[in-house]
Parts: sequence; C-alpha cells; structure tokens
Amino acid sequence: MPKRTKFRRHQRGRMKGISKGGTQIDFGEYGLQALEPAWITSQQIEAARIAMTRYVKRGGKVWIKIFPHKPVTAKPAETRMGKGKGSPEYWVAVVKPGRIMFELAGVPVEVAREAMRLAAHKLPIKCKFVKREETGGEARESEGNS
Amino acid sequence: MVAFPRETGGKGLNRQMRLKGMIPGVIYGRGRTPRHISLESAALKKALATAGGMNVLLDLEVKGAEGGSAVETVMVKELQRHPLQQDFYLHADLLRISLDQKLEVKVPLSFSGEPAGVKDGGIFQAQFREVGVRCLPAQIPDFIKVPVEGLEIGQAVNIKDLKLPEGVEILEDPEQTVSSVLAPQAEAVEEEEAEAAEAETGAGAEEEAPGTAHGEETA
Repeated sequence: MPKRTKFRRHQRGRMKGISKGGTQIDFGEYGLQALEPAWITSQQIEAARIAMTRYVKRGGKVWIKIFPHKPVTAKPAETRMGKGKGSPEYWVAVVKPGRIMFELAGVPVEVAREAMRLAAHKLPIKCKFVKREETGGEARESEGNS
Repeated sequence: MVAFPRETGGKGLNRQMRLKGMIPGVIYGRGRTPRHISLESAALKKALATAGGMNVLLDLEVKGAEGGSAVETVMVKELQRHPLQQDFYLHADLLRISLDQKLEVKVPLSFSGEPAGVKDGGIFQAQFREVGVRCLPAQIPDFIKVPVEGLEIGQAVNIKDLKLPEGVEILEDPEQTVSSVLAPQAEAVEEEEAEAAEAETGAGAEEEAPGTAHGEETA
C-alpha cells in the first residue's frame, strides 16, 4: 500500500475496456496475464507472490508489476446510511484484461507454469500463462490455466 | 507485399478493416510526405516470420489513389498488437529505408549454452535482451550470439565483450552488463522475509490502527 497519499478516499471509477499499458513481458521470461477486470487487493497480491516464491524455492526471480494504489472504504456494521463516506479499509490495484501482473525468470518453463498456476489460484480472476516472445517470428506461446 | 491507399478514418472504419483481414498503417521517413495505407495482416505476419523478426526489409508495392503503383523499401518501425491476442495486429508503422544509409535498429541477443554458475545454483539474469546497433540495412544481423557457458556465479558479460559482425557498430555503453549469474542467496532471503512478514502480520494485525489492519491481513 502507498506510504502517503494526497487523498484518503477515492471514488470507485469504472473498469471498462482492456489494459492500456503493462501488457508486455518487460523483465522476466514468463508472465501471468489477467483476462478479466478486477480489483486485486494487497492481500491477494501478497498471497500470490508467496505461493510463487515458495514453489520456485531458491531459484528464479519474481517481479510484481501491479501496485495497490486505490483505497477502498467501508462503513462499519449496523450503521445507518449517511454521516459521510466510510473509512479506508483496504487497498486494491485496478487490473484490466491484458495486464501482466507477475513476471518470473531463471526457472524452467514447467516450474514457471506451475508457480503461475498456484499464484493464479490466489487471484479473483481468470489468468493466462504467457512466455516472452522468442527471437524472430511469432513464437509467443500462451496457454489458459485458470 | 501490397499496400492500398487509405483515407484517414477513425476507429469505426479501422475496425471494419481489421474484420476483413486488413490493418491500417502509415509509411514515413526520408523527408517525404507520410502516407496512410492499409495492409493485409496475414501477408505482414508471413513477412515477419523470419529469423530477423522485425528487422526484415520489405519491398512494398504501394498502390496510388488514381491507379498506378510505386515500390518502396521499408522496415517495420512499430507494430501494435492486441494485448490479449498477440497474433492479431492492430496497426503498423513502416519506415522508408535507403539501402546506402546507415540506420539504427534493435537486434536481439541469443544466449548460448548453460552457464556454469547456474549448475552450481546461481540464477542467470539477462539485463539486455536486445541491443541498439548502427549499420547498413543489408548488414543487420538476425541476432548477436552471446556465449555464456563459462559464466560462474558473480561473473558477467559486458557490452564490450560482444562479438559483432563486420560493419556493425554498437550504440550501448561498453561497460554495461549484458547478462550475469547471481548468487542464489538473494532469493532465499526474500523467502525468509516473506515468511517473517506473514508471521508478523498474523501476530500484529490486532495491534495496528483499524484503517490499516485489514490491509495487512494475509489471505
């Protein structure tokens, strides 16, 4: 979550369309791509990261390419409507289809695929395992996994 | 490859064009007026399916608006793809090329062999996957080979170590690292940190302020 913010409470916004940026693998060899729009909470990001890191053990390097910038508020239980907006409860990253959320490098493809599968199970959306495009030609391999 | 003239359209016309297997594009460069064109997506895909990838020279027959045609030598400068269907091209920027003028392009690196350090548990990391070079269009290499078999843990290959074909000049800083083999401890530390953080949040969630407590709870 952010260390400091300009405003404590955000408006909800909409999640129309597909991702404008962050749709390519930039750092690693493999990526986990979102196929649906969603708010990914900071807990879900952390759970996915832990699942991935535990599976790859000592090998490999993981990049997290989304950040929970958006605060989500909630009103306490059994409160009457009104009296202003609730207090910030948790933080989310707004993810739209096409976004590469995690990247991985330094492990064989089978290990990467399984690590990403485990990570995808911690997320509330369908995801796809993607590989970096090979030199020359159209060798980008992809496979649905969740 | 054949390109047809295109009136500047907007997203509606471009979408219709894509449904028919054509993609919008633009040709520019060499001080001449840019031209809006449309291309056959399948033909472009076939032309780019070479070892050189995007660095391939194309002889493009550009049809005129009032009949007639002209052949131009072009290269793909930028190719836009659909984020979810990478095989589906959206738009192509084509750059006019002069065969006797040097140009700057990105050439992919091909790492050959398994580093010795990886066998000892190190992590191979590539800082560069492609490098900028300046050369004549006919001399653009398909790729630059980087032998990494001899790399031990802590060793690296720098830009100055790359063996370039004749007539090819590199544009990157010679001292920059191309690839290295890292010691595995960094990842082990990260894992420990993760476990420590998990234990900490499990124990410390109640002590934190109500606004942040939920944000720290583990799933």
